[in-house]
Amino acid sequence: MQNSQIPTSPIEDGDIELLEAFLDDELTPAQSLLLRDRLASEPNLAGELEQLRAERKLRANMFLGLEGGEEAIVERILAQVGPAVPDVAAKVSDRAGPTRLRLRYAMAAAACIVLGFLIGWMGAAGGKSNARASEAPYRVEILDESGQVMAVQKFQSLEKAREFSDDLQQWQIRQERLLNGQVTVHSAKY
Amino acid sequence: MAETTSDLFEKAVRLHSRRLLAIARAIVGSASAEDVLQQAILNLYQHRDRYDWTQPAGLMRRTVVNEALRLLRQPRMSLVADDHPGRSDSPARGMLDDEMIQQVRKAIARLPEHFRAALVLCEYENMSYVQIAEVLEASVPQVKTWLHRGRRQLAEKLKAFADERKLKDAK
Repeated sequence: MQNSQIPTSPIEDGDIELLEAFLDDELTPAQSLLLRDRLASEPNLAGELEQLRAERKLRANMFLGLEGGEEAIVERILAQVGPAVPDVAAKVSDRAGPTRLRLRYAMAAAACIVLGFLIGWMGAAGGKSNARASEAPYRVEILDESGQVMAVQKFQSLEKAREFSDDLQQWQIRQERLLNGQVTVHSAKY
Repeated sequence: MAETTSDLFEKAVRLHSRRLLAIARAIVGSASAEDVLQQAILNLYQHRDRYDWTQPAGLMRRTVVNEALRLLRQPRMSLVADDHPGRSDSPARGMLDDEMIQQVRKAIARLPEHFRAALVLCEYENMSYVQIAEVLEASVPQVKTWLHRGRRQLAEKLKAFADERKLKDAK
Protein backbone atom coordinates (compact mmCIF):
# COMPACT_ATOMS: atom_id res chain seq x y z
CA MET A 1 0.00 0.00 0.00
CA GLN A 2 1.44 3.32 -1.06
CA ASN A 3 -0.18 5.32 1.72
CA SER A 4 1.35 3.18 4.44
CA GLN A 5 4.83 4.18 3.27
CA ILE A 6 4.18 7.89 3.63
CA PRO A 7 4.59 9.21 7.16
CA THR A 8 1.24 10.62 8.20
CA SER A 9 0.31 12.71 11.18
CA PRO A 10 -2.98 11.96 12.95
CA ILE A 11 -5.92 14.19 12.07
CA GLU A 12 -6.61 16.61 14.83
CA ASP A 13 -10.03 17.80 15.89
CA GLY A 14 -9.21 21.33 14.70
CA ASP A 15 -8.42 20.00 11.24
CA ILE A 16 -11.76 18.23 11.08
CA GLU A 17 -13.51 21.47 12.04
CA LEU A 18 -11.55 23.21 9.29
CA LEU A 19 -12.64 20.61 6.75
CA GLU A 20 -16.24 20.90 7.87
CA ALA A 21 -16.10 24.69 7.51
CA PHE A 22 -14.63 24.17 4.04
CA LEU A 23 -17.52 21.90 3.04
CA ASP A 24 -19.98 24.36 4.60
CA ASP A 25 -18.46 27.09 2.42
CA GLU A 26 -17.56 29.10 5.49
CA LEU A 27 -13.85 29.68 4.85
CA THR A 28 -12.46 32.89 3.45
CA PRO A 29 -10.76 32.61 0.05
CA ALA A 30 -7.36 32.84 1.77
CA GLN A 31 -8.23 30.05 4.21
CA SER A 32 -9.54 27.89 1.37
CA LEU A 33 -6.33 28.38 -0.58
CA LEU A 34 -4.20 27.38 2.39
CA LEU A 35 -6.32 24.31 2.97
CA ARG A 36 -6.12 23.29 -0.67
CA ASP A 37 -2.32 23.42 -0.45
CA ARG A 38 -2.42 21.20 2.60
CA LEU A 39 -4.83 18.78 0.96
CA ALA A 40 -2.43 18.42 -1.97
CA SER A 41 0.43 17.46 0.30
CA GLU A 42 -1.35 15.60 3.12
CA PRO A 43 -3.11 12.46 1.88
CA ASN A 44 -4.57 11.64 5.27
CA LEU A 45 -6.22 15.06 5.39
CA ALA A 46 -7.54 14.54 1.84
CA GLY A 47 -8.83 11.12 2.89
CA GLU A 48 -10.61 12.66 5.85
CA LEU A 49 -12.23 15.21 3.54
CA GLU A 50 -13.54 12.41 1.34
CA GLN A 51 -14.87 10.62 4.40
CA LEU A 52 -16.71 13.77 5.51
CA ARG A 53 -18.12 14.20 2.01
CA ALA A 54 -19.42 10.63 2.03
CA GLU A 55 -21.08 11.13 5.43
CA ARG A 56 -22.65 14.35 4.21
CA LYS A 57 -23.97 12.63 1.08
CA LEU A 58 -25.69 10.04 3.25
CA ARG A 59 -27.31 12.78 5.32
CA ALA A 60 -28.35 14.68 2.20
CA ASN A 61 -30.14 11.59 0.93
CA MET A 62 -31.74 11.06 4.29
CA PHE A 63 -33.03 14.65 4.26
CA LEU A 64 -34.40 14.19 0.73
CA GLY A 65 -36.23 11.11 1.97
CA LEU A 66 -38.05 13.31 4.48
CA GLU A 67 -39.68 15.32 1.71
CA GLY A 68 -43.04 14.55 0.26
CA GLY A 69 -46.58 13.88 1.34
CA GLU A 70 -47.16 17.51 2.19
CA GLU A 71 -50.06 18.12 -0.23
CA ALA A 72 -52.77 16.55 1.91
CA ILE A 73 -51.29 18.03 5.07
CA VAL A 74 -51.23 21.52 3.58
CA GLU A 75 -54.86 21.24 2.55
CA ARG A 76 -55.80 20.16 6.06
CA ILE A 77 -53.85 23.00 7.64
CA LEU A 78 -55.24 25.61 5.28
CA ALA A 79 -58.72 24.36 6.04
CA GLN A 80 -57.95 24.80 9.73
CA VAL A 81 -56.58 28.32 9.48
CA GLY A 82 -59.21 29.37 7.00
CA PRO A 83 -57.17 31.48 4.58
CA ALA A 84 -60.34 31.90 2.59
CA VAL A 85 -61.53 34.37 5.24
CA PRO A 86 -61.57 37.54 3.16
CA ASP A 87 -59.40 40.45 4.18
CA VAL A 88 -62.49 42.66 4.01
CA ALA A 89 -63.99 40.76 6.92
CA ALA A 90 -60.79 41.17 8.89
CA LYS A 91 -60.92 44.91 8.30
CA VAL A 92 -64.55 45.25 9.33
CA SER A 93 -63.90 43.49 12.60
CA ASP A 94 -60.31 43.10 13.56
CA ARG A 95 -61.12 40.16 15.77
CA ALA A 96 -63.46 38.33 13.44
CA GLY A 97 -60.82 36.26 11.65
CA PRO A 98 -58.66 35.25 14.63
CA THR A 99 -61.65 34.51 16.87
CA ARG A 100 -63.17 32.14 14.36
CA LEU A 101 -59.81 30.64 13.83
CA ARG A 102 -59.22 29.95 17.49
CA LEU A 103 -62.63 28.49 17.98
CA ARG A 104 -62.17 26.24 15.05
CA TYR A 105 -58.79 25.15 16.28
CA ALA A 106 -59.99 24.63 19.81
CA MET A 107 -62.94 22.68 18.53
CA ALA A 108 -60.74 20.36 16.52
CA ALA A 109 -58.50 19.74 19.51
CA ALA A 110 -61.51 19.23 21.76
CA ALA A 111 -62.91 16.67 19.37
CA CYS A 112 -59.71 14.68 19.63
CA ILE A 113 -60.02 14.62 23.39
CA VAL A 114 -63.64 13.59 23.26
CA LEU A 115 -62.77 10.75 20.95
CA GLY A 116 -60.08 9.71 23.39
CA PHE A 117 -62.58 9.66 26.23
CA LEU A 118 -65.01 7.70 24.14
CA ILE A 119 -62.51 5.03 23.26
CA GLY A 120 -61.24 4.86 26.83
CA TRP A 121 -64.73 4.50 28.22
CA MET A 122 -65.77 1.86 25.73
CA GLY A 123 -62.53 0.00 26.35
CA ALA A 124 -63.01 0.08 30.11
CA ALA A 125 -66.47 -1.40 29.73
CA GLY A 126 -64.97 -4.41 27.95
CA GLY A 127 -67.42 -6.83 26.38
CA LYS A 128 -70.36 -4.98 27.80
CA SER A 129 -69.49 -1.76 25.99
CA ASN A 130 -71.94 -2.16 23.15
CA ALA A 131 -74.81 -2.93 25.47
CA ARG A 132 -73.94 -0.01 27.75
CA ALA A 133 -73.50 2.41 24.88
CA SER A 134 -76.86 1.53 23.40
CA GLU A 135 -78.52 1.91 26.78
CA ALA A 136 -77.06 5.37 27.41
CA PRO A 137 -79.88 7.82 26.68
CA TYR A 138 -77.92 11.09 26.87
CA ARG A 139 -75.49 12.23 24.21
CA VAL A 140 -73.05 15.09 23.92
CA GLU A 141 -72.27 15.85 20.32
CA ILE A 142 -69.22 17.81 19.22
CA LEU A 143 -69.87 19.82 16.10
CA ASP A 144 -67.55 21.60 13.76
CA GLU A 145 -68.28 25.05 12.37
CA SER A 146 -70.41 23.69 9.56
CA GLY A 147 -72.57 21.84 12.09
CA GLN A 148 -71.28 18.38 11.26
CA VAL A 149 -70.94 15.94 14.13
CA MET A 150 -67.28 15.22 14.80
CA ALA A 151 -67.71 13.05 17.89
CA VAL A 152 -70.38 11.76 20.23
CA GLN A 153 -70.16 10.85 23.89
CA LYS A 154 -73.02 8.99 25.54
CA PHE A 155 -74.05 9.21 29.19
CA GLN A 156 -76.32 7.40 31.56
CA SER A 157 -77.57 10.58 33.19
CA LEU A 158 -78.28 14.14 32.19
CA GLU A 159 -76.17 15.33 35.09
CA LYS A 160 -73.10 13.45 33.82
CA ALA A 161 -73.67 14.72 30.30
CA ARG A 162 -73.91 18.32 31.54
CA GLU A 163 -70.81 17.88 33.67
CA PHE A 164 -68.90 16.62 30.69
CA SER A 165 -70.17 19.42 28.48
CA ASP A 166 -69.21 22.03 31.10
CA ASP A 167 -65.74 20.53 31.45
CA LEU A 168 -65.30 20.69 27.73
CA GLN A 169 -66.37 24.31 27.58
CA GLN A 170 -63.93 25.16 30.36
CA TRP A 171 -61.21 23.40 28.46
CA GLN A 172 -62.04 25.39 25.36
CA ILE A 173 -61.93 28.65 27.27
CA ARG A 174 -58.51 27.70 28.63
CA GLN A 175 -57.38 26.73 25.15
CA GLU A 176 -58.51 30.07 23.75
CA ARG A 177 -56.71 31.95 26.49
CA LEU A 178 -53.64 29.93 25.74
CA LEU A 179 -53.85 30.82 22.07
CA ASN A 180 -54.41 34.46 22.99
CA GLY A 181 -51.22 34.40 25.00
CA GLN A 182 -53.10 35.26 28.19
CA VAL A 183 -51.77 32.20 30.01
CA THR A 184 -48.69 30.02 29.67
CA VAL A 185 -48.52 26.28 30.01
CA HIS A 186 -45.98 25.21 32.63
CA SER A 187 -46.80 21.55 32.51
CA ALA A 188 -48.63 19.28 30.11
CA LYS A 189 -49.99 17.27 33.04
CA TYR A 190 -53.63 17.72 33.96
CA MET B 1 -55.48 43.30 -9.21
CA ALA B 2 -53.12 43.35 -6.26
CA GLU B 3 -53.00 40.17 -4.18
CA THR B 4 -54.38 40.36 -0.68
CA THR B 5 -52.44 39.29 2.40
CA SER B 6 -54.53 36.13 2.57
CA ASP B 7 -53.70 35.28 -1.03
CA LEU B 8 -50.00 35.83 -0.44
CA PHE B 9 -50.16 33.86 2.78
CA GLU B 10 -51.79 30.88 1.13
CA LYS B 11 -49.37 31.02 -1.77
CA ALA B 12 -46.42 31.09 0.63
CA VAL B 13 -47.76 28.11 2.58
CA ARG B 14 -48.21 26.07 -0.58
CA LEU B 15 -44.82 27.05 -1.96
CA HIS B 16 -42.73 26.35 1.11
CA SER B 17 -44.54 23.52 2.88
CA ARG B 18 -42.54 20.74 1.30
CA ARG B 19 -39.28 21.96 2.79
CA LEU B 20 -40.85 23.18 6.01
CA LEU B 21 -42.39 19.79 6.63
CA ALA B 22 -39.06 18.09 5.95
CA ILE B 23 -37.37 20.43 8.45
CA ALA B 24 -40.02 19.63 11.03
CA ARG B 25 -39.69 15.90 10.36
CA ALA B 26 -35.93 16.09 10.77
CA ILE B 27 -36.20 17.91 14.10
CA VAL B 28 -39.22 16.35 15.82
CA GLY B 29 -39.82 13.18 13.81
CA SER B 30 -42.65 12.39 11.43
CA ALA B 31 -45.25 11.73 14.10
CA SER B 32 -45.26 15.34 15.36
CA ALA B 33 -44.11 17.15 12.23
CA GLU B 34 -47.62 17.91 11.04
CA ASP B 35 -48.50 19.41 14.42
CA VAL B 36 -45.42 21.58 14.29
CA LEU B 37 -46.17 22.80 10.79
CA GLN B 38 -49.81 23.41 11.66
CA GLN B 39 -48.99 25.41 14.78
CA ALA B 40 -46.31 27.41 12.97
CA ILE B 41 -48.70 28.29 10.17
CA LEU B 42 -51.43 29.10 12.66
CA ASN B 43 -49.07 31.46 14.50
CA LEU B 44 -48.12 33.16 11.26
CA TYR B 45 -51.72 33.42 10.17
CA GLN B 46 -52.76 35.09 13.39
CA HIS B 47 -50.18 37.84 12.85
CA ARG B 48 -50.17 37.75 9.07
CA ASP B 49 -50.67 41.48 8.70
CA ARG B 50 -47.36 42.17 10.44
CA TYR B 51 -45.23 40.33 7.92
CA ASP B 52 -43.97 40.89 4.43
CA TRP B 53 -45.34 37.96 2.45
CA THR B 54 -43.37 38.75 -0.65
CA GLN B 55 -40.24 37.26 1.01
CA PRO B 56 -41.62 34.70 3.43
CA ALA B 57 -39.07 31.84 3.26
CA GLY B 58 -36.87 32.94 6.16
CA LEU B 59 -39.79 33.90 8.35
CA MET B 60 -41.55 30.58 7.79
CA ARG B 61 -38.41 28.55 8.33
CA ARG B 62 -37.64 30.41 11.57
CA THR B 63 -41.20 29.90 12.81
CA VAL B 64 -41.15 26.17 12.08
CA VAL B 65 -37.76 25.67 13.75
CA ASN B 66 -38.87 27.64 16.82
CA GLU B 67 -42.10 25.68 17.03
CA ALA B 68 -40.23 22.38 16.69
CA LEU B 69 -37.78 23.31 19.44
CA ARG B 70 -40.62 24.56 21.64
CA LEU B 71 -42.38 21.24 21.23
CA LEU B 72 -39.26 19.32 22.15
CA ARG B 73 -38.82 21.40 25.29
CA GLN B 74 -42.30 20.64 26.57
CA PRO B 75 -42.47 18.30 29.54
CA ARG B 76 -43.18 14.66 28.71
CA MET B 77 -42.34 15.33 25.09
CA SER B 78 -39.57 13.22 23.67
CA LEU B 79 -38.56 12.46 20.16
CA VAL B 80 -39.52 9.10 18.80
CA ALA B 81 -37.39 7.88 15.95
CA ASP B 82 -40.08 6.97 13.50
CA ASP B 83 -39.94 5.59 10.05
CA HIS B 84 -41.16 8.10 7.54
CA PRO B 85 -41.84 6.20 4.34
CA GLY B 86 -39.93 8.78 2.33
CA ARG B 87 -40.25 9.27 -1.38
CA SER B 88 -40.57 6.03 -3.21
CA ASP B 89 -40.04 7.85 -6.50
CA SER B 90 -36.70 9.32 -5.48
CA PRO B 91 -34.18 8.46 -8.20
CA ALA B 92 -31.38 8.22 -5.66
CA ARG B 93 -33.31 5.80 -3.54
CA GLY B 94 -32.63 2.71 -5.57
CA MET B 95 -28.91 3.33 -5.63
CA LEU B 96 -28.42 4.00 -1.97
CA ASP B 97 -28.18 1.74 0.95
CA ASP B 98 -31.58 2.08 2.59
CA GLU B 99 -30.41 0.44 5.75
CA MET B 100 -27.62 2.97 6.13
CA ILE B 101 -30.03 5.86 5.56
CA GLN B 102 -32.32 4.43 8.22
CA GLN B 103 -29.35 4.36 10.57
CA VAL B 104 -28.54 7.99 9.73
CA ARG B 105 -32.13 8.93 10.47
CA LYS B 106 -32.12 7.13 13.78
CA ALA B 107 -28.76 8.59 14.73
CA ILE B 108 -29.92 12.13 13.89
CA ALA B 109 -33.08 11.59 15.93
CA ARG B 110 -30.92 10.81 18.95
CA LEU B 111 -28.84 13.96 18.73
CA PRO B 112 -29.52 16.79 21.17
CA GLU B 113 -32.20 19.09 19.74
CA HIS B 114 -29.90 22.02 18.95
CA PHE B 115 -27.33 19.82 17.24
CA ARG B 116 -30.10 18.39 15.11
CA ALA B 117 -31.64 21.74 14.26
CA ALA B 118 -28.26 23.24 13.36
CA LEU B 119 -27.45 20.27 11.14
CA VAL B 120 -30.76 20.45 9.29
CA LEU B 121 -30.44 24.17 8.68
CA CYS B 122 -26.83 23.86 7.57
CA GLU B 123 -26.96 20.80 5.36
CA TYR B 124 -30.56 20.72 4.18
CA GLU B 125 -31.33 24.42 4.02
CA ASN B 126 -27.74 25.43 3.15
CA MET B 127 -27.82 28.28 5.59
CA SER B 128 -24.67 30.09 6.71
CA TYR B 129 -23.44 29.85 10.30
CA VAL B 130 -24.56 33.44 10.86
CA GLN B 131 -28.09 32.70 9.65
CA ILE B 132 -28.30 29.54 11.74
CA ALA B 133 -27.13 31.45 14.80
CA GLU B 134 -29.89 33.98 14.20
CA VAL B 135 -32.61 31.35 13.85
CA LEU B 136 -31.46 29.37 16.87
CA GLU B 137 -30.71 32.50 18.89
CA ALA B 138 -27.16 31.42 19.53
CA SER B 139 -23.66 32.67 18.80
CA VAL B 140 -21.73 31.63 15.70
CA PRO B 141 -19.08 29.75 17.75
CA GLN B 142 -21.90 27.90 19.51
CA VAL B 143 -23.39 26.89 16.16
CA LYS B 144 -19.98 25.68 14.97
CA THR B 145 -19.62 23.59 18.12
CA TRP B 146 -23.11 22.10 17.75
CA LEU B 147 -22.44 21.19 14.14
CA HIS B 148 -19.04 19.71 14.86
CA ARG B 149 -20.19 17.67 17.84
CA GLY B 150 -23.34 16.55 16.07
CA ARG B 151 -21.38 15.35 13.07
CA ARG B 152 -18.82 13.56 15.22
CA GLN B 153 -21.55 11.80 17.17
CA LEU B 154 -23.22 10.72 13.95
CA ALA B 155 -19.94 9.49 12.51
CA GLU B 156 -19.25 7.41 15.61
CA LYS B 157 -22.71 5.86 15.56
CA LEU B 158 -22.49 5.04 11.88
CA LYS B 159 -19.02 3.61 12.26
CA ALA B 160 -20.28 1.33 15.01
CA PHE B 161 -23.13 0.24 12.76
CA ALA B 162 -20.80 -0.35 9.78
CA ASP B 163 -18.40 -2.39 11.92
CA GLU B 164 -21.27 -4.47 13.24
CA ARG B 165 -22.52 -5.11 9.74
CA LYS B 166 -19.05 -6.10 8.52
CA LEU B 167 -18.87 -8.57 11.35
CA LYS B 168 -22.27 -10.03 10.42
CA ASP B 169 -21.31 -10.26 6.74
CA ALA B 170 -18.09 -12.06 7.63
CA LYS B 171 -19.97 -14.78 9.52
